[in-house]
Amino acid sequence: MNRINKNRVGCIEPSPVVREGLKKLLEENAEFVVCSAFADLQAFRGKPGEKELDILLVNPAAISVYRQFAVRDLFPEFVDIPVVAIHYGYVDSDTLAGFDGALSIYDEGLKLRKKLRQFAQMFVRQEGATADSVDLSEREKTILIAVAKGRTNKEIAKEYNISVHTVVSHRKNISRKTGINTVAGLTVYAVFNNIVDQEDLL
Amino acid sequence: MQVFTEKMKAADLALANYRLLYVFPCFGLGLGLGEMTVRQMCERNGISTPLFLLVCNLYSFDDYFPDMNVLTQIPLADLMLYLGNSHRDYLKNRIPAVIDKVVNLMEDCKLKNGKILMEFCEKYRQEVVAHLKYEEETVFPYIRELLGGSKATGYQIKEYELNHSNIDDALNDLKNILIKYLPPDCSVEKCRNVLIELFLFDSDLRKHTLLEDQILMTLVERIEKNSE
Repeated sequence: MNRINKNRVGCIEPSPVVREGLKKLLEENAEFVVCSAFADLQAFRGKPGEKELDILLVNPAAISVYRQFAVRDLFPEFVDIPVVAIHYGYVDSDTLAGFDGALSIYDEGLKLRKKLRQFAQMFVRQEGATADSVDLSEREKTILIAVAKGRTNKEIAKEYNISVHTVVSHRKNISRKTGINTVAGLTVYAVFNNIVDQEDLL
Repeated sequence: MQVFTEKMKAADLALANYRLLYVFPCFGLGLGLGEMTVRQMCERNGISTPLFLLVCNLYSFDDYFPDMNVLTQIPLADLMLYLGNSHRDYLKNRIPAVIDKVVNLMEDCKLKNGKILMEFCEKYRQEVVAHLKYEEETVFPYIRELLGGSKATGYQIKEYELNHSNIDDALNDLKNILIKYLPPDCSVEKCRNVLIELFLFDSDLRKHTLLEDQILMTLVERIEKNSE
């Protein structure tokens, strides 16, 4: 659970009444914050800071002129967050299929938030499911040993002559594969799997 | 949405959600509830009924979140008292219960690397201690000052959010280690004992965090705004 950050929601919706209404309902319990709301795609594109979103809400009507494009292709910078449709009534299933989920403006606040939460979680899970096998690569094991020995990312980067960025990305992959995030937890994992000997850690 | 109300029997709350058995003692409540309603029980024990209901509802219904009418009835001092009591419960009962069961598990399965798991548990306990100490020594006194009407130091409740270290992560790691990476000769019953304890504690901790990050924060931010 991410306890520090609120889910940052972006919104492309032509009606100011609906925009404000969504903002009010979604922000009711401090779980979500609507940090950018625009009437159309052009206005949305022009704004800096838009890249920091966790969820994007889009009224299909607002992008209907781009019908020939897949929804995903309209938002290439948002491959890793769910794009969710907001609709007022009937929307044909082909259109909805391009989105990662749909909200009706007739939903109550509670239901809106519950659905959004589900979409966000589902999206993460799907991404995880497409990830490669759980076995750590030799390189990852090497990094894991260094982490277990208490080395910092910077020290590891220097020792193996790679960038800190690469170390971070190895560590992310290790955590994704094992489900373990803390250094202490990774140390236990490394010992249990005979990747490192307990005596070497002292 | 169906939630608990003050006219319900207090015993029915615990019967509906047994996990409230961890909540009652933090309000100083024992059992032997008889046919008392929630309101009667709260009044007899000098507990704020809206606060008690808020906590029970948060712990019991995942979708529950109080509206402003409810929030404004919550006495901050009592909320902090409850939070402090549950901190003590975590340190005195819940975490030792987990650690005891880990010890018990390791005795059995001749884990030659058992020591590393104990170190992990000990480190976790220390992290929780540090986190709770920060709340008790920095955050709560600040809120009490604020309630007393004094315009406090440079501290702002927003810093609390930043300081809220992620103690859930370690619990999650322990679950993963026990389910995925324990040698297969370990007793499944003993392992289950640890895990059940862990899952119960973890879900309580999440609700506790919700109380702190969302209810406490919202109330304090309102006071901060008014005192500006």
